[in-house]
Amino acid sequence: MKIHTHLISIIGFLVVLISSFYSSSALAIPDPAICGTSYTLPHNTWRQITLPCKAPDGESTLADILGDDLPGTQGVHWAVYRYNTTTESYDSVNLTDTLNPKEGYWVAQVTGVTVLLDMPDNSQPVPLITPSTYCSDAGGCVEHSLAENANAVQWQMIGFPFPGSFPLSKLRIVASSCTNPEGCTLQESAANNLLHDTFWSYNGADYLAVTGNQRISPWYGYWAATLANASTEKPMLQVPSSSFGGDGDADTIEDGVDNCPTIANVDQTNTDTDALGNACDADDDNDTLSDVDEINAGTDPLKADTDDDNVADNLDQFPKDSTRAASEESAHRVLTQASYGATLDEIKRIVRIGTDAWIESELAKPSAYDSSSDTHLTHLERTLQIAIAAEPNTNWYGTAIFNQSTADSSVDEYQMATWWENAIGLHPTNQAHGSDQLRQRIAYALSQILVVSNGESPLNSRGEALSAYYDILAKHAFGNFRDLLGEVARSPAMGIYLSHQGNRKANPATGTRPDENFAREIMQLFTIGLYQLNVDGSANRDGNPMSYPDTGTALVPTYSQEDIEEMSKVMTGWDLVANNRYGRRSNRTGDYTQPMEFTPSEHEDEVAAGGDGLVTILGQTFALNSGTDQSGMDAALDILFNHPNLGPFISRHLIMRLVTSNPSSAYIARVASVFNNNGQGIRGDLKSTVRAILKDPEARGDSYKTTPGFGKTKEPILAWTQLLRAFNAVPLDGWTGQDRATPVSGVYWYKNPQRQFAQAPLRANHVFNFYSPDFIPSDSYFVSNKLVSPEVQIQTEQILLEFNNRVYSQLLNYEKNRITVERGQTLSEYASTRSYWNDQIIIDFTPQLELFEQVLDGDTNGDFVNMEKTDTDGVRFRSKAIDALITHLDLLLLGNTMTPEFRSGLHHYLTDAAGIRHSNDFKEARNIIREAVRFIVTSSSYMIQK
Amino acid sequence: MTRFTGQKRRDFIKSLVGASVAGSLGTLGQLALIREAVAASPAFSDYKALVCLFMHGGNDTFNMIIPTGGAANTGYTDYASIRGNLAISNTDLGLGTLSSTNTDLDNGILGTGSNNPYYVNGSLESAYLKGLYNLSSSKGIDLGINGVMPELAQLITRNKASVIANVGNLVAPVTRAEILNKTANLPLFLFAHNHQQRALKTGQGNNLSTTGWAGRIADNWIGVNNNSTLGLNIAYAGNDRLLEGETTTPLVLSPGNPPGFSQMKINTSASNDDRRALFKALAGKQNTSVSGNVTFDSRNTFSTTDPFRSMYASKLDKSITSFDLLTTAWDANPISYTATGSYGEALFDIPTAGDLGFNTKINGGLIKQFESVAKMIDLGARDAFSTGSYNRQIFTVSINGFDTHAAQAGKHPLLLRELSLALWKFQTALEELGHANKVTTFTMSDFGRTVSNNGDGTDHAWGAHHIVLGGDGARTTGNLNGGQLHGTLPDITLGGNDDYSSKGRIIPTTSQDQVNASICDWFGVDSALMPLIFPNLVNFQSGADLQSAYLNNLFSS
Repeated sequence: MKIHTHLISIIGFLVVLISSFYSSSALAIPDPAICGTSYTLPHNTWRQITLPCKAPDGESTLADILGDDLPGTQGVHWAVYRYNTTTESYDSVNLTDTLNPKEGYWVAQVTGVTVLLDMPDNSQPVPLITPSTYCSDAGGCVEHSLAENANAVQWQMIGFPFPGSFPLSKLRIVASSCTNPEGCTLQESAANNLLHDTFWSYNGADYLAVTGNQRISPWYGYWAATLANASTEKPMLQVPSSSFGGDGDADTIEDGVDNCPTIANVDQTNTDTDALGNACDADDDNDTLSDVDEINAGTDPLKADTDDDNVADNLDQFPKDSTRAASEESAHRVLTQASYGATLDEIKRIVRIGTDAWIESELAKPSAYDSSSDTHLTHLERTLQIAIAAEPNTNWYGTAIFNQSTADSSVDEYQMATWWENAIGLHPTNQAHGSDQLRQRIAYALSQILVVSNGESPLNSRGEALSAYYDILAKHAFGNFRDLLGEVARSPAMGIYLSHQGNRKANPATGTRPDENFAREIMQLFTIGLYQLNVDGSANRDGNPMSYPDTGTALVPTYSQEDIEEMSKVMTGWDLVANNRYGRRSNRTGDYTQPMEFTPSEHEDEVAAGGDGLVTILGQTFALNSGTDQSGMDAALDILFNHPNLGPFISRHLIMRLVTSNPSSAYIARVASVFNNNGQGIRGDLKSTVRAILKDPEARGDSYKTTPGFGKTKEPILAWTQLLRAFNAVPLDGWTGQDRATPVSGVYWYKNPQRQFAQAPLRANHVFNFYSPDFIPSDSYFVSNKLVSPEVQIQTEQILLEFNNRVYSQLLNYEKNRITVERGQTLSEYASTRSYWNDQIIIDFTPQLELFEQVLDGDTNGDFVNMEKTDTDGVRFRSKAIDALITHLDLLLLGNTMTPEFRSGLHHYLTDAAGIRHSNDFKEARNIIREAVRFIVTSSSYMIQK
Repeated sequence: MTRFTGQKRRDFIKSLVGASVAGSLGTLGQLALIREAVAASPAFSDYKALVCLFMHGGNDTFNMIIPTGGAANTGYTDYASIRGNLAISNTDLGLGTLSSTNTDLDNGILGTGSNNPYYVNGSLESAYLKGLYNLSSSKGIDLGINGVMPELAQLITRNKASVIANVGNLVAPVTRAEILNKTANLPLFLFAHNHQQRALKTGQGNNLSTTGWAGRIADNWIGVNNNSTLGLNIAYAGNDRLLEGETTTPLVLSPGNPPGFSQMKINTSASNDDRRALFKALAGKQNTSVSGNVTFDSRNTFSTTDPFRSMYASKLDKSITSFDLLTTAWDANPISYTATGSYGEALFDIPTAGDLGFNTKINGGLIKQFESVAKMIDLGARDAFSTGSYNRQIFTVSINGFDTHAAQAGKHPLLLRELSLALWKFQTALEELGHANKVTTFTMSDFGRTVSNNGDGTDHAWGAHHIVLGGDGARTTGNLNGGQLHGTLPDITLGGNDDYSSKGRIIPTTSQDQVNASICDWFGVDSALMPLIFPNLVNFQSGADLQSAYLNNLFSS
């Protein structure tokens, strides 16, 4: 169930519950509780509970007792309601409200997992009333007063705080009309019009009547109803303490230690060794699939991994097939969302291990940031390595600082090559680079929030700044957003790009004041945005980010111009290490790879203007010289980091970059709640956030593939890397470098891809990234449903053409067999004719040629005979080979989503079109493969990911 | 048929479409027919084009057009004192000399290198601050044009361009008092680049989510240009909101000769025709190869109900169709200009740094965009697309880099220089082609910049001066009445009457919508449609009708 709908419908849902009271069946209530035990609250069902004990003083609020057990956010992930007997409606319990023993509550959670509720340490049993006339039990009694309603039935939610269950028949009602000093029985009190003789409990689906010797259990809440005379007689419930305990199911195992106290189970079998014996356990093997569902699905309810393939049944799309845990389509889908493109090997791997295990393995992959001594180089290290190898005669270290004396613009290109290497991830020798596909994808996604661009001088001649910046993004891609923000704010690339490098305090003598550039954009674009948000990403208009959707039209701005002016004072005093004069902005001074350094004398102190040295940003005041570095920077960043907008702002962006352009508000809320608290009380944990994005039902659920508004248009550059990865792209070795002399090898060389794709990493036209997140294509469906597709903004008619032509030229010219077989050159002979000014990435159709030939003539020796022959059924071998090729490309490029009409049209073209046939059978086969790939990759079927 | 106002007209269409209509037409077919009947383009018989020049980043036009008068608060003294080290010197660099016989820009002898009037040892910073071309003697306007923009100054003195003072994004007129009292009806998210750009493009400062105003014109001029695939709107400035309609979308082009799809060029070979046929089939269009072997019917033509795929497929189809049309007309109509640029260079060549007398070259991208627009205008005005009736086009061009928070004195002159050259070249080309009176070009920018100085540049602000260019300078009826100053020069003092607060973020005194509406009126947007295009225009009415919100005499009458 979607949370959003869920919470909206709570009230109506509960009304329905009450009206369905009188459908009942046999009651089964477990009885495990004492103060130290817990209550198992499953995902996505409502439960009535009560407290079994009294919480210690000062720890008795909802937040103290249940809020600490329930992950996520109230109102998003869980809800607690009490019944208001005055208004006869439900009230949401606030986190600061006290919870009372004896009162019943509705509680539900939708975190996706089972949650255990327990009492705070040092909780104590509720004091008993001492033996007296009205309580003959030597151990005392539990006493319970009730609400009543004059001359009417009054329903109420109650429970019994006591360490054990008791049969309802032991309940006594003390009232003036009850002549027995120890109180009436329930039947007598019903006859006296005091209390209904039946209690009701709820099992998650139905109301169950509790009567006679059926047992009342701690932790469980019940509906009880006082009757017409109760308002005058004020009946009191009492339970003698001797009623508690015992063996309710008569299986000789005392309730307190019975793992299923309501159903006789002498053997106490408990497959999954959880708190519940199988007799009471709806999920005996603890694989989150209910026993009933497992039996219906044919999997083993007593075995978490039915097919023994090391993938638990709930994570296994084929739980009875040990060879598969995911479909090829699912494998392709997660690779499209979370890597730079599917390869056949990765598809096969995911089919075997499942999508969940793949995501976890990506989150756990080693990176360049684990060790500084291994061969897994950072972007910066690799950029320098390429530069030095490609231009050995350039004096890169004319000073101690790389590229300071040279300011060579080719370093930007070496940085681009490093990016390609880490994106493509198929380097023949640098195999570690890009092996961390998901980390690199997240770094790229982050580069589209925390935007810098080489368009700003001198970043166009100090490309090492870009590499160092990208390392910050990649290093923290699975780290904490606060650390990321701190390093970004101090990075030379950002300092240059948004001009707080060299920013100075106000000078009344010259009439100058601090630059507002970074101060504004860090708020508007990098953290909190322009207006207040709810946790689900919708506009917060009522001041409470946890309540939504809000009504009204007026957006509430997050900050004012005054906040920006205050923030601009904070962002002063920072400059490049080794700059030769504070604030100088030159391509030949300063170190663009070290964090900027702080110069207190240039930092705003408000002395000149007679100010107090304090700034107030978003209502919080701090000293401009606060923090260990006395820059005030961290105090300012902390304010932004802790703003409620940050979670939904960042979550929505990352979802849009990876999964879908129009995520449901519930999806945003689920992810943002994890950003806000990863379950261990940590805010801003990007690894947990990424996990939540990719494992969400909206990302993984098959039904979303056919949901009209779901999915996204691919970014052109990612469509491109997907093509390259599919056909095992490697660098061409031996082309001539910029110095027109040095042969360059092992470098993925494609400069300025923005000419064809209207985008390239760290090369946006402005700080607003390549496209606007709210871009709506001029299409009636998108317009009328207000659906965005940001990536379409740059995919203009001309860019579609440019992309098409770039694909064509890659397939035609830069394919290994074209060079080695058709042109008859070795790759190095070919490379020797190529230079710095060409593109140098080679794809390989060998597997496709072999597959084609195998079907055509039964071998892979390259002769491609049978092109014109037919088999015994009169079918041309060529036609069969085309079929096999299309099937293969459908998997590799489209994840098996090609429609029959598409396949039929493509087959027709590959069979019959002019220009396909060739007197040379090898060339004809290569024509067929090239044309098939071209038309798939330039189609809407490829460019849209669902 | 009754003439509906814009909004009602749309509602009427919706009600018709919502009704069930018997017959074989699908909903889309009905929609097309109904739209054509109700919202058809006016029957134009002439050709006109609008060109929107967007200066991204927020042009500091207070240093492009400088107050030179002696009045307190609006004159040079206050300007110079507030601007400090970024103040342009009030030295007249002598446009009069330039424009005298034989030494004018028309003859390509502005003077290269050190002969440039603004030249100071090649230094950008010094040239930027060196002086201005004072318009007071020639035009009676107490303003000067920055010294690095001699061509712009000349366009004004020749009555081919006018200055609109202190324009900006407004929902309704506002005063400083209202802002201080927090009672002002302000645009959304003032001072934020993207939202201020957006507001100027939606034509509604309090609605950032609606369509672009030029897009709405296209939506309402169904069938314009005899239903040409090229439509009304053509962008050389990327895909932005201005040209996006609800049912129409601009053609977005890069400057230069339009390319063709590799090995899919129209009418070239059977194999290329077969590729075209497959490409179209996979984009959802049943078709048969013109000269080849393949044919695609319902059984082997891609179809989808997925909105993403269907939207993208339409774009692919539009792409190949548009480039067929463009390349054919473009290649058949070469243009060779006899006029040259300021330094005698071929008209749309980019002058070298040496010619410019700068130590750095200009980017030149705007010049290349204008070159393409001039050619597209020529193709349109001569109906080279063979539609039979090609009447209206709206273009966008842009220049980036105006967000001069830092290093303004080094960056701004390059941008202003390119702006001046580009406007001059474009105007010269239109005059040579005979289209000058058919085209109006106007500038917009995110916002103006603070009058105050952050030490190295200026920050986001609000009101700014802008330029309208067009006509042949004769100012005959119906053509641009150039050489004028429209609007009001603002009080630029910090904390003064026109300051938003205390940093010199100047409150605009003329709404950009007023300027744009005046131009759209010239372009042929009728008064019934105008409220749909600029919904807030009504707030600027000074008289009984909407026309009272237009600028007076922007065009000659």
